[in-house]
Amino acid sequence: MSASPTDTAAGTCPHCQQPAGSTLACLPCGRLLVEPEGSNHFERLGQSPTQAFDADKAELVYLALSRLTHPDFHGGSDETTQALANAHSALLNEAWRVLNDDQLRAEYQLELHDPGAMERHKTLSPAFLMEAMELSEELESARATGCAKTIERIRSEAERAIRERMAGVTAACTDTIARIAREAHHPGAESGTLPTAMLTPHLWNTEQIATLLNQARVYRRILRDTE
Amino acid sequence: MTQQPTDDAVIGIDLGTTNSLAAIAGESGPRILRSSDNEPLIPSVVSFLDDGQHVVGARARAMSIINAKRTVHSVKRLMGRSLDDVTDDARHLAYTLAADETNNLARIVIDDRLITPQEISALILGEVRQVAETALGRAVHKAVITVPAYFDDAQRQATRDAAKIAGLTALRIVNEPTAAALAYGLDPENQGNVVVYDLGGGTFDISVLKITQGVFKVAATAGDTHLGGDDFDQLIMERILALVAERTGTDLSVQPQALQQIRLSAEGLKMSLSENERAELEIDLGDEQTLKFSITRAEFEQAITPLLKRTLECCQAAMTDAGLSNDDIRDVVCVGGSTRIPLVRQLLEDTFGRPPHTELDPDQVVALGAAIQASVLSGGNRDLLLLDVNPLSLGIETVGGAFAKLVNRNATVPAQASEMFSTSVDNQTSIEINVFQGERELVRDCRQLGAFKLRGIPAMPAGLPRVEVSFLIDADGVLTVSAKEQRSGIATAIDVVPSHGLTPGQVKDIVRESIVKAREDFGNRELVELKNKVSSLIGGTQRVLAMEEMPFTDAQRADLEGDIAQLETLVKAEDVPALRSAADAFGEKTQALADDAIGAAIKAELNREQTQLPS
Repeated sequence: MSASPTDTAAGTCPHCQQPAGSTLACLPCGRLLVEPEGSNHFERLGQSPTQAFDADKAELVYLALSRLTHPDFHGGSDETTQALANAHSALLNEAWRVLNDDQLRAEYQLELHDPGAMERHKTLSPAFLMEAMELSEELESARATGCAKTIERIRSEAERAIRERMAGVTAACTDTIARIAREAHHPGAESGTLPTAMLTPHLWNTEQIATLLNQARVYRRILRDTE
Repeated sequence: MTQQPTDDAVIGIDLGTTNSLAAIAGESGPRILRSSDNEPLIPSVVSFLDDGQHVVGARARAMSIINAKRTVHSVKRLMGRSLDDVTDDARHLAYTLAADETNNLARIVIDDRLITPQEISALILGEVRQVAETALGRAVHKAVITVPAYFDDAQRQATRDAAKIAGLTALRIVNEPTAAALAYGLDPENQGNVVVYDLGGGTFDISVLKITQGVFKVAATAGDTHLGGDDFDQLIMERILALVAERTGTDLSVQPQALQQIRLSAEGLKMSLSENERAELEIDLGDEQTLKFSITRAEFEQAITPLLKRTLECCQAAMTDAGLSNDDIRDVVCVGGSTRIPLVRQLLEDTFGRPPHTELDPDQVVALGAAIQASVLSGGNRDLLLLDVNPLSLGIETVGGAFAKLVNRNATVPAQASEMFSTSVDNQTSIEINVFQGERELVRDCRQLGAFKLRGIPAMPAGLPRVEVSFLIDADGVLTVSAKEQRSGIATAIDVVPSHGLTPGQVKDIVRESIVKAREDFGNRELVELKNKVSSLIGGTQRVLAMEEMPFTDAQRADLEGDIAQLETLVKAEDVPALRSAADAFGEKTQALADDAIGAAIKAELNREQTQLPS
């Protein structure tokens, strides 16, 4: 995963010579494609990793690709094609699972830019851990006594904490874009239409982003336990 | 990549706990395939007779009282289960279970034989197939078979094995609630969320689906493999048994025959309570003594309410998993005979604020949906796509018996995950990996699917090999594993030892030695049946021709004898189509003859009686 993702989601279809729109299958002609080594989830779903994720639009692409890759529609094909359909369909489902979740998408994007960042910045501050542990313990006793009101309060607290972290991630990215723009005196800076090539990993504050995402992970676990 | 619609009929089969049935989808939509006596449901019952033969379906069900110990019902509850898993069920079964000595799998004891649940299911599938072939007039080799959404890998695998033993290719194992959603059609172009509430004889399933542009995507599924109409029967049964014990001091629960009789009566009472406010039963105690048992709908509803509450809790869990609230639901679909109970429908309406769909027969809707999916898979229908989910999280055992999830519950299938493994000892060439399915933190609380042994790892210092193990859950929800050592590029071999199922070798053995007779080709069977029919037609005609009372002209005799000679030639030639039409024509001609013969015989008999009467 050394190469930075590019803005072109996928290449040209070798069969119909049109832009394929995905690395898994060609949207215009419907054929299954052999993926280039190191393809990522954004390319699979025809999304640009540097633009705001449009869930509704991505879902339509996901459904269209499902129709092309799902083994149900390859029952009469030869064994190789069936195996490819199975594998591509599984990859497509995985791509959608990751990209359709704000947290997982942010983590995935960060890993693309800076592999191992989440793991490197896994150690969270004692103050944070203390706070999370208290909330977690409070939840545990609320669950033991069946206190629905407390559980509901913890739930909204966890949701708020996650929202804050995600907002922090967005801000950190926007800061980076603004900083790059200032340095480069790029005219498109404020509207966020920067060329991707400028978003090089070394300019990201990956420690800050990874820490926020790791903190959000902790709150997601608490949130899950409230159910 | 494009596929041609095949000529082979592909049917949908609902292999149920209580009843099974088949359907096929044509251009005018799906329809149920009925037996020659127009019955859609085939009881999922097999009865073994004294002469070593067995009967399946309604005939087996009729034996369930007089041949209780050798009549197998509810076998679906045993599929892919160990004896320990089914101890609760075993108490309610009139037949005996034993553990397979090698893998502790539940087996059915019939006299001195141990029979696998897969074989019993195969016999049921064979009967369903025969009904379908007769109804269609052509051979059936492939089918889509439904299972409860909550079935784990072992239970799905067992169902596939049953199909294999029956000589059927299971093109797809589809979840029952998902099939039901397909059957309702629910305007595939109209975006919306659908809840399928499936309360059958033995299992409860809930699925939440999102429909977008013809794609039916399952968002979440939950359920209880041990909750259904049988439990409601059980509640009524217990009341009957208590009444009998109180009045007579007799414990009928230890008498298999009586127990079976009461089970059937309890089911009848339950059904009656869906229509009536009160149901009654007269129990014959022998010596012209009877005991009257009576139950009101209110009493019944009160008894089953705790069980129905459990179904609604499952429902909420699935809604949470799907990230939806009750207001987001556009349609609610009812599946399974138990949804005929008015209280069930009322509770659903209270929960979702709209009456559930009940237009289709809840006993048939799953088979109809399976038939639609069968038409998709055979290339006849590309308007619909079903995206189903993995019912239980799948993962591996890690240090200290912890369960590391690799594929989460409700992940869309096909789903994949991969994990890196290495060695802990120098020159180690194999690694053992235990795979589990479940939602708990420790593997001891989950269900082991099997053990996988990676062999053929190149000899290297400890920790150096990098073996990537890939898990793929296919569209049937069945797991396959492959592995590759990254440094050498060598694909390592994997031996799969299923914990709760048959190995492929065992399935082959069963197919070879099975009590399920090697099944003749459909054409062969039709020929045999035609030959029998022709021989009885000829025999009957010859008897009539020999009767003195029949006033045949010589021309009539010559005509009939000519027909017989022609039929005998066709039988020898084994020409099925020609024989079929000749036999049909001859049958019609001789029908009139038979009527005359019966008339003549009666007349002759009457004359004889008259002559014997004293004048």
